[in-house]
Amino acid sequence: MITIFIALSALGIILPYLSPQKIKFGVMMAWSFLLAAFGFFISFSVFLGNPIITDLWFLNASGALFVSLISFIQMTATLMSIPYLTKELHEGVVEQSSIASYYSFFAAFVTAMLVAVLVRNSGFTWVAIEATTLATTFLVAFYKRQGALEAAWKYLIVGSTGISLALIGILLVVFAGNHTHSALDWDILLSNATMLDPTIMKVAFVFLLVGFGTKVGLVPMHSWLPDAHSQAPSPISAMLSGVLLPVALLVILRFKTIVDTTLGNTLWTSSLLLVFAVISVVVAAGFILSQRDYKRLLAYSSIEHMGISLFAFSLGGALLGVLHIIGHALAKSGLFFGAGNIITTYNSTKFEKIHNVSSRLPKTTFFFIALMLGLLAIPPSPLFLSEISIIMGGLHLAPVSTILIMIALVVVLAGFIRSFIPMFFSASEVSSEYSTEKFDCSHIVLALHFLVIMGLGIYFYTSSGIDFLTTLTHFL
Amino acid sequence: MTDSFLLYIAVGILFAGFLGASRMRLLSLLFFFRIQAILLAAYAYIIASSTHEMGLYFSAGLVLLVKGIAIPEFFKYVAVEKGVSSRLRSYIRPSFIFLLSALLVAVSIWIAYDIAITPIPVIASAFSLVMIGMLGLMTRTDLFGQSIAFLTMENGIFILGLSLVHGLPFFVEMGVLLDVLIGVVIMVALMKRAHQEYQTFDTEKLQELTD
Repeated sequence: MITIFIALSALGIILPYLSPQKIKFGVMMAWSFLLAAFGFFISFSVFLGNPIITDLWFLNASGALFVSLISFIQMTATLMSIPYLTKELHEGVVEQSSIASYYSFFAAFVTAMLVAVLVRNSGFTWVAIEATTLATTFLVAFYKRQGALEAAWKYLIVGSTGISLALIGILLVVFAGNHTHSALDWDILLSNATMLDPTIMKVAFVFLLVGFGTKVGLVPMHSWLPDAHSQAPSPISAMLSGVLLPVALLVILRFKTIVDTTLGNTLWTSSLLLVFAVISVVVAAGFILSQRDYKRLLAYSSIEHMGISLFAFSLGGALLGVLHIIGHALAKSGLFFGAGNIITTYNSTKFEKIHNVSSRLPKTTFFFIALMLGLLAIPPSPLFLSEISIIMGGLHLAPVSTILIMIALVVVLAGFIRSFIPMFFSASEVSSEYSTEKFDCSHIVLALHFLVIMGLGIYFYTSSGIDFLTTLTHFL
Repeated sequence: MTDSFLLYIAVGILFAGFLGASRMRLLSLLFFFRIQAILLAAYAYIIASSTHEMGLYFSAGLVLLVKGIAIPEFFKYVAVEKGVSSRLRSYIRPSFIFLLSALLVAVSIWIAYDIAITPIPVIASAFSLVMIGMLGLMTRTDLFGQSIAFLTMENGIFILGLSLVHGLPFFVEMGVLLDVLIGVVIMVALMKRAHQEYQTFDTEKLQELTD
């Protein structure tokens, strides 16, 4: 069944070249809906029943969570691409001929992510993660402008270099398992974990953490992230931030589970994660406060949120980490969609050039502010529950780091308010601005993200919500 | 007998990487990269013939074809087509890169002795190539130099893989090579676009995005 699912996803790579110009949007939307429905079906069958393990694939509850997130966000991103690309075509920023390659690389990106989550062999997971870099490089370089090319080059080089280090890590894992190749399957790695050489596994984990950490955007390996996120078309930024970063994080967490089993305790890996988590949150907060470009600000905020999730995992709060990933994925991708509407209206990503969005784009403003409050952990956002619990737990377990993170969170709040509130509500010099915003797909997408966040937020406050989250905390 | 022969080849690859590191002419850089790749293919072939793994023969052939022939020819073709001066650029002087590379080789030998995974000279060569590659990525400021530096690093990892675990499972290894190949194609595509827009392969023009 999973093979058919992946084949359907891969079909999207050639589909845009086969379908006629006029119905291209419709064809891709149908593909995307079908893929999402299939993804949800597989995920729910795993949530309700047993993990799926075949020769090629491995899917447990935590993997199913990622499949549902990818399914949902690829669907809303495909929907969002329609008004976004239509406006860009109209403006003449994008040519008709590049629409097909946009969707083709989009589908390649989605397929690579799904394979990374679903494949049973951890070596293939590596291949798939590197494939996400290759597929998205073109999407980052989609616009024919200077910044896009630079961001793409940096992304390709930094991303591939990082991921090469992860390959060394995987080679060391095989070496620790006495050269048996079948030992690369995730579940077999875990069941053999106690027989692996602990010293080599420690060295391997450092390489894996730095390597896949580059894809997660952990500081100091984050240099590609703000550039790539800000230069890519908005629906792509939403996918990069909402799902690609967590998928790379999932790979780290799986290896953490294995190394913890080998070492017999979680202390060693956790202390390593803690350092990266705190540095990422603190550094990102600083850049958020001084940011002049709203897409870059959202990108730095992703680094910050990955840091907070990692902090939860390092303190043993896997449940909170997972909750944080879910909340962040939905809120941040929604915000990038909203940012897409602002860019296509103002043709700029600089705060200083944009004023009074609330009167020109009232609908977008409503959802953007609502999602932003969700991202800043205002209840009933799931992020409220995760952040408050992480901080309360953290104050007992790692007081100094937790206080640093609390300060950083205040700085982030200040950064968001300082930059976004003037952009939405300050009067502009041009006095005669009135709303010309028509209701389109993008508002349906924003509303959908908003409703799902609210709904999940309330659900996770109930005890059945907490029970469900608990089933997601076994990464292997 | 095969073992000592393997050591010579590994050290040969290291020398090619080391000498290539400070080359500032495209043709001479490509020459040393080609030697690296040919020796690498020979290395994989010898291991394949001693372990009788069919997958490794295939890997050896692919390395020779892709890294030994296709990539250098491809780069040469792009350079000639665009009529660029074959003088490459770097933040620091070639002689200083030479010294730094020597230092990195020394550090690698020390690390290899420290972690004591045999055969030590091979592991040391692999580490050196990875580090020399990284040095190139950091110091070279043209797109050709950075690409070759990246591939040098990749070669180091390939040797590490061969000597540690006799290569990854066949399909994973093919996946890795495919990723490298697609990566190079994308690199060249980006290079061509950069050249189209700025008439140079220099990364000087690509330094606008900062905070």
